Amino acid sequence: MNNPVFLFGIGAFALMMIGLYGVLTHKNIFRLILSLGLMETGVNLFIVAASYWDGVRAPILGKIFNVKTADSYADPLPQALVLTSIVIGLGVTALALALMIKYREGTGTLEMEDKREEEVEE
Amino acid sequence: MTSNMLPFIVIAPVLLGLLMLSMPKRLNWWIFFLLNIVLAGVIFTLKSKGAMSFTFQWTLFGTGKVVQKLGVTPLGWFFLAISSAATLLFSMFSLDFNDKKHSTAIAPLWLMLVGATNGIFLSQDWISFFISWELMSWTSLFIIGHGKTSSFKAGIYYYALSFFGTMAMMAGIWLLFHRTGSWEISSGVLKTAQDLSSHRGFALTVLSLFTVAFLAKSALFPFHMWPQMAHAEAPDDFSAYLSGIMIKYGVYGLLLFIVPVFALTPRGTIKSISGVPWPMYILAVMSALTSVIGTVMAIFTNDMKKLMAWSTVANVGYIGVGLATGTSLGYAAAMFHTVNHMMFKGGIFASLAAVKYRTGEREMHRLGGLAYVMPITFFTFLLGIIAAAGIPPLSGFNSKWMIFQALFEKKMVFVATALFFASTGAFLYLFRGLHTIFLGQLSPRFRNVKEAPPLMSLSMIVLMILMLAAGIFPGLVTGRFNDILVAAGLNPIKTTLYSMTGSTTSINSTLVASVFALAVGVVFFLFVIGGRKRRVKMMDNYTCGEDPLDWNVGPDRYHYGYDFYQPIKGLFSWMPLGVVEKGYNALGRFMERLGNLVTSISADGTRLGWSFVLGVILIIVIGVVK
Amino acid sequence: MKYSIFLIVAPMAMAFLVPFLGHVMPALSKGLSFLTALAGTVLSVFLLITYKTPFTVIMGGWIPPFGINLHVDMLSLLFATVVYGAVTLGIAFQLSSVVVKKPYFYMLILLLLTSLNGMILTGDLFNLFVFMEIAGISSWALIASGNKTAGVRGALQYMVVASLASVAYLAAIAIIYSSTGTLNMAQISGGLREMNSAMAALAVLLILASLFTEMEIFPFNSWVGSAYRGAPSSISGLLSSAVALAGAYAMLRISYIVFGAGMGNIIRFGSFNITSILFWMGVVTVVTGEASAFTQKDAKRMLAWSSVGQMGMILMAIAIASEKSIYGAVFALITHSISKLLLFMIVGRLVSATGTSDWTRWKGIGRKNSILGIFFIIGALGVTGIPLFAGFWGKFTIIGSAFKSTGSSYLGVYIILAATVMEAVYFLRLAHALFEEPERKPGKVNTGIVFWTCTTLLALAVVIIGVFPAPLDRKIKKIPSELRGDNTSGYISTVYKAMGR
Repeated sequence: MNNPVFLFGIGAFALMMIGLYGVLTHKNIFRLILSLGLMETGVNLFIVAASYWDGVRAPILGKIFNVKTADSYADPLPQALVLTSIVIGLGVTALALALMIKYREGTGTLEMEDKREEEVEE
Repeated sequence: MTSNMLPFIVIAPVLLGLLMLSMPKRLNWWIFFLLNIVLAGVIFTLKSKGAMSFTFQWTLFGTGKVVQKLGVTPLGWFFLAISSAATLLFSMFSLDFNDKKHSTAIAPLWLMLVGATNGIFLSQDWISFFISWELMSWTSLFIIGHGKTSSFKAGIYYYALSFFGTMAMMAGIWLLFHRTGSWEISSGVLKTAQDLSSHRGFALTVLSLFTVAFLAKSALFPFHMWPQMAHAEAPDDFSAYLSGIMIKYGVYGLLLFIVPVFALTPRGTIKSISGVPWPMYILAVMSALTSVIGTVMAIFTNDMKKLMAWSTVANVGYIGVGLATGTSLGYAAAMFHTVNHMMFKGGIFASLAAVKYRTGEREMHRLGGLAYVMPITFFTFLLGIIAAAGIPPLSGFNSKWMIFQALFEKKMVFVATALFFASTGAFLYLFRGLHTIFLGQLSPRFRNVKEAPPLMSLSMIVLMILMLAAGIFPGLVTGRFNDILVAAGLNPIKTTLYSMTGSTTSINSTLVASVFALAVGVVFFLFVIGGRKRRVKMMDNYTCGEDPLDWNVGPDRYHYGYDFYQPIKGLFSWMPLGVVEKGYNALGRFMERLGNLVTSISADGTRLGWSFVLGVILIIVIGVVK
Repeated sequence: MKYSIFLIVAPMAMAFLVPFLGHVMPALSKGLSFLTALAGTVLSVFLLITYKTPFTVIMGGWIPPFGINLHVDMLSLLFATVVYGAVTLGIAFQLSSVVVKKPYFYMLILLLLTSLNGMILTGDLFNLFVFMEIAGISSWALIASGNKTAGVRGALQYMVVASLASVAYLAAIAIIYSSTGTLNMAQISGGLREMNSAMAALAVLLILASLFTEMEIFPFNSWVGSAYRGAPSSISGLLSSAVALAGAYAMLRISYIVFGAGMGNIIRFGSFNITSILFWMGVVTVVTGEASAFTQKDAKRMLAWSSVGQMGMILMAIAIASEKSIYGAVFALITHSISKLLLFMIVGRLVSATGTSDWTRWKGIGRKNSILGIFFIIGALGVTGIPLFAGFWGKFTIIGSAFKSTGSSYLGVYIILAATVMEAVYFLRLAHALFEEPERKPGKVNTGIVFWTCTTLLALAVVIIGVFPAPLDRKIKKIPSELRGDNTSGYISTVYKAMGR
């Protein structure tokens, strides 16, 4: 129970499921975007959890730690992955909110629905 | 004339057709006519040069090595010759038909279609065959549609069935290729014949895939409902081509692939019913069913073009029965009926086109008495329906006689009975057409109608002469069959210029025709020297002095041709006639519903997420179950 | 051969430049973005002509698997060329349109170009994810740029599904990385088999879900109708001919290299059979896609669903995984891109001429503009796969390979063949409607020299490939052998060589 991987895993799974529940039950675009954000956070947490190793140290080269002791370092790559995916998530959320505002301007509502007879351009 | 002529007669029409898309209409019809003269000339000189072929090789990774081979086989040449001759006549007809008022822009596409037709009859490999077949399909779709919304509805019905068949053929071609390792048609025939004993399931799959394609094209059951739409809605001059030539591609395919396979299979390899291998027996029953359905539907139709389209369906049924017997006689009979049908149905559709050209009417009960003003058209129609009904001095009798002889030989009682029924029914609908359109009283509206223009009349006259010739001297046509029969692995038939020999007896058509001519001469003589004659005006009779308008019945409704066979309609009410069509419509509706269901997933935001979840579940289910 | 990096870098650099330049000289910035795409096309064609064997480009001096490698082989080069060509023509089409777009629009197209080429060239799973996301972001923005609500709606719908897909993909990456310790495709190809089969199956499931979304496979494609309809036609065309193409490419690459350790070898994880998933999802997609297109009165939706049907057939070909089926799939993808782009260009102009995308109200417009109508017929026959037009060879080969393979079910192939009847019907129905008697006077179609150049090039390509497939055939037939796992000059061996092993 005290294993952080377990806690992280539970947390990640819970976040993803809450997000999925939100996506499945809401029509409101703002809530959809929030739910998707939750799912993304969940999956980021999952990456961190999946690459956790017990008893390793931060991979920072210094006086104490050097290349010879590299075996006791944590893998730095997942951090890079998570950082990248957080940045991408930010971009997606920003664009989605911008689109939402434009949608609101056009239709006067935030509900996602399909209109078939809308005007189209070339 | 070298073998280089073979690609020429396929490719030149297609390229010229493309070029004609940018030319004025009137010029196009002349080019169409002139090129058809050239093509017919080339095709008729091909035969004297003996066997020739043109091969063209290429290799693609996907298809492997392909040897495209155009060649003249006896069967191919026969179909090529009759189709090019008929096309020439129809193009002459079209030349006058497409004046300012009736013109359509179909000449370029029609020319491409002619090229595709030549390709089909010359192909010795499945790739060329398939390419020509598809080219023929879509060009004819656009011709039938010819820019009219209602016509296109008929055309797309035809095309959907035809494309379904084409897809089946694609599957069949590949199965055959994987089995034989070559695209050649002849090696496919040999291999399938061997497979009938060793790999029966496989051979039957291949045969049924090809049969679907050919049945769909020839409008045999269960694809019998497209001609009544497509023939009726096509441009009037094109209907003759559609019914005369295009409906025969499937017949050609059956003669090319299906019949030889069973001819090469030794007796006893496959179970037979009354001496016919059971798949062929099924084909015979389906063809007989086609002719019964065609006949019954024709009896109840008021539209003259639809009536003749149903008659075409019935006649293709006869042809199918003939070739399904698998004997030399049946094969010859099928080919003979193909030629005859091409001539008499071409003549009938030409005369109907001429009637429509002059009167603008298609419903029979609005017409009447046109024999007085359009005698040549009348005689073409008359001879056409005499031939179609199978009455002696004309060609239809000869081929029907042969078909029945082939059936007697195999003792196929059930099929023969069905065909007798269809033949009798043919009298009902054909003479109704004659009576309603050409005989009776001339409506005052049509008093000033003139005979069809000269070129139209000329082509009709030629068709009449051909029908008479084939009727009086059957040997003119049947004499050509023995090469074809031998090439297909069958025994030759006994025939002379004047007579035909069946399984039970032989008949001298020339003698029959002479007797018939004598009888007609005597009757005509009696008519001439007989008593006084008086012409009856249209409004003189029927109504016993009452004015029908008092009962809200216009002149159309009290025309005796309207719903002529209403009384006997009840006799056939038990037949589930529209059931196949209803099935197709239900399938179409089901697909529309499925499409609406799929597209409605995006109707709101919640379903987007659900669709994703559904997809994940679907992946798991398929992944675990299979 | 190091030049191939420019296929990704050049449009990215220009994408940063264009908006700044656009403030000063809008016309120049637009022209520059067209020239970038054109230059890239020339470069990729040059690479294609001089191409000999597959090679790996190592990025940033880090040897894989620590660094990222680009992999250039015939498959990626061909697809990069098609993407570049499609984008070039798309930009030209948009420039000739009456609807004037701001420079940002062209920046987004360049960004899309960057990301699609990245997707095609990269050899790293996470890198693929990043490029997929950039492609997503730029295409949502482009779809929404329709400047009417329809575009925004389509973009949002696409965004919801694609975000779910990216979450699934990231989760799969986490699982794979924690088990195999690498994200390099060539290295994973062995490692995936040694994983716990339940975990591997979960990873495969998640990756498939996300790639199916990219590739528009049913039921991950609920967004296509709205997105294609709302987007400007140049972008709808690119969605079909470049974005879906890149999605199909990723599917091909991942199923053969990552799942399969070489072609013809797609693995099973316990009872989890990937081949039959791909095969039957393909069949379901063809049926549903063609049925949906069959019901559409809206031309752009119809074309969108027709793309879905094509992708289904290509997925089936990927599942069969024989040499011929891959050949057929690549052939069909390329010719589909060409024909579909042509159709979208024509449809776009017809929409602006008539003011509606409901094709039942386009009757008779082809009578005045007969060449436009004929081009439409060429495109339609090209997509449907009629002989003498480009689509035939791909479809024909796919069907043939399906009848040869043991992994496929004949029933599925027959279903697909029957479903393509609908495709022929709805395409020719529209094509004929263009020539029917008009109900009202048809408007004038805005054409010009640029439009005619684009459409003529595409229509000629459809006909020429249909009649002389040999030049394209020579290129495509190298692909199957390069995908084999046991080929010493194949994908996996080349990457391992680059690693120095």
